[in-house]
Amino acid sequence: MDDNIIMKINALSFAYDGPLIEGFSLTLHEGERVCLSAASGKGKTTLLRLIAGLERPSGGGIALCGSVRYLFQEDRLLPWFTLEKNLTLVGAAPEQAREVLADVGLEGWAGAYPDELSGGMKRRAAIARLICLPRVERELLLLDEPFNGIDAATLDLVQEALERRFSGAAWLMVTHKKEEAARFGARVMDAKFLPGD
Amino acid sequence: MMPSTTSVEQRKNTRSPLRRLAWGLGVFVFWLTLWQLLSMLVGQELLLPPPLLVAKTWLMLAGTAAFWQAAGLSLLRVLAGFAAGTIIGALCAFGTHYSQILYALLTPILRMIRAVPVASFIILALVWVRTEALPSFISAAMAIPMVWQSVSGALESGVSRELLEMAAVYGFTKKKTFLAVVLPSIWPTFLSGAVSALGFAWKSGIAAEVICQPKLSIGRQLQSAKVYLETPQVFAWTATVCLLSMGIEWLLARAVKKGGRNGR
Repeated sequence: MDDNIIMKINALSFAYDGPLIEGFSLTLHEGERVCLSAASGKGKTTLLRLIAGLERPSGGGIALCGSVRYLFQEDRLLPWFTLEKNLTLVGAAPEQAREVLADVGLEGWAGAYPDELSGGMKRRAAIARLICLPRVERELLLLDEPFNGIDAATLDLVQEALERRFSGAAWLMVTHKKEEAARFGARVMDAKFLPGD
Repeated sequence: MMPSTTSVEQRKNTRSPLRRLAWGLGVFVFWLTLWQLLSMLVGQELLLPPPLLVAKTWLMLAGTAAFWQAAGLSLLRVLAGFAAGTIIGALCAFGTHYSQILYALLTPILRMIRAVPVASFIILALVWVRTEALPSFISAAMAIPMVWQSVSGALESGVSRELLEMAAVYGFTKKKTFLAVVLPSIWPTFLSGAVSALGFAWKSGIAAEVICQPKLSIGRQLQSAKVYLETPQVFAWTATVCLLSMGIEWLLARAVKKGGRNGR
């Protein structure tokens, strides 16, 4: 594989109650940013799950040359731990966890539990946890509807924090909002997961 | 008139503490009066002693060191058995959940223990286990399948697949996944299963004491009171069993509540 390539998807197929993805190919280079656009239920999230290794393809293959950093469509915070603990569990020091929380507009919320937060705050906490993942040389950032529920007042803050942390990574994002793709300079790609699409 | 849509339990919970206390006292007095009336109707202390006589007998017993020794040792025996049973039951649940071989081997045994009547189990165990250890053994044997069942159920459906995926993607080790995801997920179910098992272990442990009669035990005292036709003493010892049972269940329930709050 070319030194510059971080991910190569080749003729990928996946079936779930019938074919969902068939013969899909995509190559992503280091630092490249792509935003996948397709109608709901067409397999965008499934593609991210396949890349993250959470699903097994029925055909084709995915070659990765780097670490996956995945922001799930759901927040998936551990409800029995405080936000600080949720962040330190992925490797951050307590001080760093509090700083990152402040970066996404959650200053003073380190000791709160997820069920004390609004939907948008939980999303910001999930992004803060993603930011706290250990830095490695080659990273592939997978973002599934990353800014859902985040209010306009804190959106810039969150986007800046994400940009700072993952400036050198390759990005593959799924979002319905094209302006988010433009905000990060991502190339919008109409994903054709099935031959007839 | 339209029937009320709120349940009795819901209405009970909305009462003020003072009103709840008054209700509780009223219910207590009602049953005590009924007991007194029945006792007067029967007219024989040997068959149904009046509540006042039972209270007097209880106070007399409580004034002796033997009473506290018997109650303390019975409690100790049952709690030791319950603790062992809870640990073994939880370990069995993890074993049967994660290993097909252990599932095949242990599940029929655990189901059988659950189905065997306590009295048969005590008589059988009397052959294998020495008298002093029998109540603990029986308490453990009764707690194991109950804890196993509740923890197994929690492992089956109480651990979120989404959180397990998150742990896998974010590089949690197996130990971290267990401590941060699996254990907190099953903790509330485990604790409520343990509370139920405690009540059962207590009753079975005392039943075992009645049959095997270890020295300094509530069971032995109950049996000898029965043999000497000291019915007020039988009632007084039974009241002791009830009070201790309610006491330890209350303590464990408080611990569960506290654990639930801390565990979120």
